[in-house]
Amino acid sequence: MKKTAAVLLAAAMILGSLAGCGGKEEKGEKSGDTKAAAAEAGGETAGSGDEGTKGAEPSGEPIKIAMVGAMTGPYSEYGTVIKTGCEVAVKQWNDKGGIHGRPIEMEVYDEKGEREEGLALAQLISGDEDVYGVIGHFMSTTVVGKLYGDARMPLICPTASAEAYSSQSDCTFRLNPTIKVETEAMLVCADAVGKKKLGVVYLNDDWGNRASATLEQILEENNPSGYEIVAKEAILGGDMDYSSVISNLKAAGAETAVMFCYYDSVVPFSIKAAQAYPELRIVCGGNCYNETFLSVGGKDVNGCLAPTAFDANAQDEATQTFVKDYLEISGGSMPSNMSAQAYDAMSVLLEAIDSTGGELDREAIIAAVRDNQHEGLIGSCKFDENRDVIFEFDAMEAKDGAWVPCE
Amino acid sequence: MFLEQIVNGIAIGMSYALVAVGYSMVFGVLRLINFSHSAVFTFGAFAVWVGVEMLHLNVFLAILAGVAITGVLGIGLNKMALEPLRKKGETGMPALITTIGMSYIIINVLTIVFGSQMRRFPALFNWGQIHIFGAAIGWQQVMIALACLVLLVTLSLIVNKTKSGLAMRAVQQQPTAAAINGINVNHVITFVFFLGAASAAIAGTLVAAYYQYVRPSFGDVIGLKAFAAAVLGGIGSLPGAVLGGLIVGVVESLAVFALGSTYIDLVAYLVMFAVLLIRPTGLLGRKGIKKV
Amino acid sequence: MLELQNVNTFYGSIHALKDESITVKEGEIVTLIGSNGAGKTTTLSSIIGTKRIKSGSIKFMGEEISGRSPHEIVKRGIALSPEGRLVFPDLSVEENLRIGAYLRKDKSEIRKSYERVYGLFPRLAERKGQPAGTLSGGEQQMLAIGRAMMNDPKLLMLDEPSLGLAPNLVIMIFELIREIRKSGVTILLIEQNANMALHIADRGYVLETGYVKLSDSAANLSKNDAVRKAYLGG
Repeated sequence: MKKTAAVLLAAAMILGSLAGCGGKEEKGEKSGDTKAAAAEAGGETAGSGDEGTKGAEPSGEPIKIAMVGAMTGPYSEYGTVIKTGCEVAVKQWNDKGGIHGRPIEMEVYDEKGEREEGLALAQLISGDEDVYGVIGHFMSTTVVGKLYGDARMPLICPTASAEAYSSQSDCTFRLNPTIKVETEAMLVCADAVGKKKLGVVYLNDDWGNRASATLEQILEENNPSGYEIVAKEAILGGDMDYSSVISNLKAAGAETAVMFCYYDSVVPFSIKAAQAYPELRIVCGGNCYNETFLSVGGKDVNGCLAPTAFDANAQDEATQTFVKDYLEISGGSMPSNMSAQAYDAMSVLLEAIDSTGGELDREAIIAAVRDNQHEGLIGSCKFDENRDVIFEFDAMEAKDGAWVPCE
Repeated sequence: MFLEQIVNGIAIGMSYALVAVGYSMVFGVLRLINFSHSAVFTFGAFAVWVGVEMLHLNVFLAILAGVAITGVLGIGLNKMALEPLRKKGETGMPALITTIGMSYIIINVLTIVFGSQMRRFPALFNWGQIHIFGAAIGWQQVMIALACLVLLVTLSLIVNKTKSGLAMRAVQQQPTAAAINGINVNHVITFVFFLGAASAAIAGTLVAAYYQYVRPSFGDVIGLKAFAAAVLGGIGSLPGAVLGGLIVGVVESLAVFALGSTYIDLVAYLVMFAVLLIRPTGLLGRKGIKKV
Repeated sequence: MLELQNVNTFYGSIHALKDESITVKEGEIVTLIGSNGAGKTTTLSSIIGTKRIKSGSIKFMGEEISGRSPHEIVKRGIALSPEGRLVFPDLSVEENLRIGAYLRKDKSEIRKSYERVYGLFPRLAERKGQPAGTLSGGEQQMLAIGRAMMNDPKLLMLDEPSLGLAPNLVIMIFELIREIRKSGVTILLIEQNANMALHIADRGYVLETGYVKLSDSAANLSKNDAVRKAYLGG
């Protein structure tokens, strides 16, 4: 089994290097300096195929990338957003000639938001010799890392909340903030409100519980603003009515609600709070930075604060192009934080593959992802020693149907 | 604070009751727990949403059209899925499982067409609010309570005072005897499904207007709570459904008040189990009902 | 009035009626006798339409009615008091009767039918508001017959009206059947008590495993040795 795999791998590499020549002239520069990087990273076959393939015609064989998301089921909106973000990156690369002349083909797999389904897909994908990298997994991030690690496929997840995710293997990367980083960023938002009494509202699941505990821990260690947690309310994801929770917050005198839950809880909460407790300010996570939050929440979400590294209104060219392409592919939906993270994840992966000079050496690709210097929509996409992206946030405030930088 | 939570609970409970009435009516006539009810509820809300937000119809016209279309959906579900089963004499478990299957189909179709995300639903009765014991009661909630009572009274009158209602009760008790006395059993059952679906659409519209959003998973939790409410009140009994809804709502609110919101569901279902242990037929349910 | 010709009815693979041909003329009392499983009740179900026939023809007042739904057949003036009475237990006596007149529209005619039924069965009038499930067996039988009468039928089919009743009640029921016939209703009667049935009937059919074994006047059948031996206790 291992032998066949090795032979196939070698064949794939030769094929890859054959194809690599096509784009060589176009991207001569790039492929030149990354070859060195690949050799440094210890790719055994990096140079070998190159000689033999000189002068060969570009084969045009596509380079396959797998994208795994919850495409159907209750989380399908997230699957769609992540897929569209990835598609924009793939389209942009293909428009400029692909990777060394080879087109990029993104294969979409539907995890259905189920752990077991995700695991089965990972088994399938990690056995596919033609796949050079994976973006995604949604509910199953913590159980698939090792499979991809063994197959030497870099997995970049734009939505992994579990702390343990990135430690599964040396090729699992996280392109979203860890709970700690995001919680700290939410505290920066709370600073902008300037009120001391916090009411914590958290989703009663793994992530919500950990986030709420993380907040307490952070405040215990360092609390320069003098915050006091006056109420802690766990909520359930499917619940719609938060009037009782709001009554509790009001009774406890909470001035700012720090919400560790998805936007689909924050919005109904805000609508209800706008009637029952309009003085309450709301700080929520980066997942609320999206269009639906604003369109469903309307004026009731005015004044909600969220940290985001991506600003769809930023005037730089990369963001503007992304927004334009995204609107086109999505049929008019504005990109969210999550779609920007997905775009950056795909961009990091494709750049890494490109940088290996078209040889498609797996180890070289992993090394290139690890050491990337990519400047993405969220800012620098550099990974720290835990393979978690280093995030820099801005505090944003919802104001009359738009997210604007917080004063 | 305590009173405020009770008022909160009554407000939530009324929306459970609104859904539970439909569950109970269908069960009362057909002795079938119609698990597609909450999916039909969501469908109804979407139907009205399409009318208001996409076709820009007049609100009341949109509600009327949405309720009618949802009623037709109820008829369609019965004709396509349940009537063939009845012809084969399968009315118990297979029919129940079929309703679960139908609910998945409806929700999945809604997800395919509209996506799983939230959509803004217009606040239909946004006429401000009344303050009772420190709790803000919006007109939306008042309308939900009113609709709940109107639905309760209307459905009770239909079932108990009209000829169609007599036929429904006859079909429920003795389908064969109903047929040999000239009652078109299929028509009666179809009518029941129409009523059930239309009431679900009314409930869906009001609840969506209250929370101001709709999405495919909208009916999941409320459907389950409403089912618990119907069972608690005595499934098959319409006043029982309303009573059950109110109890579940108030118990939940008090649980949040006294124990914290983590226990919201746990306590609601514990109360349901406790009541069923003491009164297996529910609070207002009658003995001798054949359980499906 | 009613004519069955070569009717075949199946329950799955069981051939319940085999080329059955029966005629009921206007004003007659015709009885079907036979042991359990002979096809008596199936015959009635086939006529009223709750059981579809496989082949053959059923004509009522010259019109083919096989293949029609029960409610269409009932509308044409056939009523059935079913085996086991099948009253609606949670409905009141009056509601049970109301359902008997379900397809009739004329309020005053319906009023008359109530009076007629309450005249035949004063016991039912006394218990108007009571749920049918609380009635005694005999009263339920009266209610089942009364309910069928509410359709103002031209043809009344009675399936085992005396089953499980005390002897004095049986006699009363048979008296009533005679009275009903006198009022111009044609009757098709299934009765286990073949003695009584042949006593009040004009003609009879003997069914055996789905076949019509014999048909003759009631008087002749009562004298027939085979019939006496099999159904009349010697």
